[in-house]
Amino acid sequence: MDGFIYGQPLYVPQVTIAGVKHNVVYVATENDSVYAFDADSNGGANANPLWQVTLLDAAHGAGTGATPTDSGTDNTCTDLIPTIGVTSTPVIDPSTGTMYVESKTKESGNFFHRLHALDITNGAEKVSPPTTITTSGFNSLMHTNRPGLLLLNGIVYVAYASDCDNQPYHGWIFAYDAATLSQKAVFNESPNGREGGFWMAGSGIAADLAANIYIASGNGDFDTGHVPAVDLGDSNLKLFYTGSAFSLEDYFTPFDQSTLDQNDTDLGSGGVLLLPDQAGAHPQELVQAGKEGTIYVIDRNQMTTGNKHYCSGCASDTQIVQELQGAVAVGGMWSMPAYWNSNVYFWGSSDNLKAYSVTSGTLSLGPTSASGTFLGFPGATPSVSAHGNSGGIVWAIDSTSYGSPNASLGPAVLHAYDATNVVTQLYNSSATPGGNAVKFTVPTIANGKVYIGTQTELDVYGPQPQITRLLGVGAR
Amino acid sequence: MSPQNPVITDSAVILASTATGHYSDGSTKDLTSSATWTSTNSGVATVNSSGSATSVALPAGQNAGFTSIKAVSAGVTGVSIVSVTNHTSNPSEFAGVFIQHNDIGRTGQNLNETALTAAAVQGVSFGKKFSQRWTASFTDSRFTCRR
Repeated sequence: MDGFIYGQPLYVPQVTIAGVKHNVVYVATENDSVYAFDADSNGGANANPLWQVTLLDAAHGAGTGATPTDSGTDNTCTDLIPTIGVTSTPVIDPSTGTMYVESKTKESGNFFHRLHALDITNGAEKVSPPTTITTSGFNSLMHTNRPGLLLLNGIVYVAYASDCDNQPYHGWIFAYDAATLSQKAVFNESPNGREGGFWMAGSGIAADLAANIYIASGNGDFDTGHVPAVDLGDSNLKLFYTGSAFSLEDYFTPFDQSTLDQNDTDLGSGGVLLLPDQAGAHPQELVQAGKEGTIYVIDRNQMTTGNKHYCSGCASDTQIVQELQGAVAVGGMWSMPAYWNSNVYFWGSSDNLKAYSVTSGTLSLGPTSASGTFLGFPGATPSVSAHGNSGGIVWAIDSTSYGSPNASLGPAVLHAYDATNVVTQLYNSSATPGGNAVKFTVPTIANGKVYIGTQTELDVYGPQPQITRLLGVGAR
Repeated sequence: MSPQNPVITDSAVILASTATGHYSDGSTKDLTSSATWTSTNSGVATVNSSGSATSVALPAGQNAGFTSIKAVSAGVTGVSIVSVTNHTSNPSEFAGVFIQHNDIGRTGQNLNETALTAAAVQGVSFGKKFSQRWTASFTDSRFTCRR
């Protein structure tokens, strides 16, 4: 591959490409390339991509000489290296065969973000030219699209934070019509202040069946002078797209927001998990945790009791459903938790994989099981595969060896655990290393295989062929 | 209200809903016929005065739509969010697919995985099958010198 694969691989079965049906896995790179590979084989004709496109050519809206941005010279930031092109996980609409991808480019000294609608059979733009993502006050160099894209009811949502904390930046969310790529609405979570930003270690923007959108913001100004607050740093937000604008429906801001901001302990380093409906008084809930490792369980229909969105001077947040601080919390979250069969799985930084049970909308007061595997920064985002409520396996990538400048360089290591008791490790790939690790990466599990993006390659794991050795007289 | 948050297709499916009053003395009463029923998005489903909702055909390209079916009785409102899926999208084709960010059902999981069992995912029987290491050959020199 020509660049780091930060976004999660996406899988679509039975796509007809050049007259042949394939199960296809799609990846995008930080060099602004998108690839489609056969998901089941790299042999024969499948040794080559089914198709590949660069988002740096004129056919994909870029100017002459376009390049990805250079992390060393353009914004002097070593957070995402060595280049920034496609960072976020794209989203695919299988009903229309369209992949929506966000790209960042440098063209004649100027910087551009674009939203592409690619035909999943050949990589061609379905809406040409692709739309340039911008609005008044949006600095294209300083912003990077970290969270995975959301496609919801014909609208594509794209959220932004910064590179490092280079100024100026805000937390932006853009809404685009999926059919025309026309801009429908823009939201800035710190319009009168600084920073904020939507990072979430690349986790996707969450949405519920009523089309409410949930997202967590990072360090930045928080407005204590108004209710609702205008600047919303370090907060869990509930938004709704009305058809012409974003509406702030509700929010929750931790009591220690100011400390979180001052100490660079972003709430929004972790993604938002929406739980399946629960029994009890709070049927619709979300779970979220940030760098502090405190776990917040929040009622999505009424995020805070009495609409006490922020409890100034408090030592805890009793106005939400549940808050697990300190010893019962998890390591700092640069990831998002996963849910399966009444369990929520967290893998914080400098911590073990931990499973908490959830009963009637309340988490157990400590982990019900924990892996023996300890990971430093950044921990991991677990994925779960299962057959209904049985056969659950928790998968995660050890990406701690993601390399310069902050970590040693080594391969991504795939881990698998029994989801009913994560003490039991089923497998890890240490004996058969793949490509070098990219931080924040998440495995995709589909149709009996596991797909992992790395710095140089897409690695595919699965059951191995069983070798039957026939022994007989004279035949050894 | 019952059922709560059902998922139906857009093939003019009729969904019978009921409204039940729960009183402070512990008693209950069927309010289905006396409640006032509304649908907040008639482009997805309509509802009649008896609480029967009927799904509406979604336009091509729209995977799903949503509406809140509400029953109001004596100033008390019950709500159920009805999800209507486009039957022409043939969702069954995508069983077993895990696409987190297109996960309208917000399960966040692959719940149709039968090959990857605890017995199959062991050191001797599971491992790396192959890698895709394709090196780009675009004319831009950045790509020919960088993998």
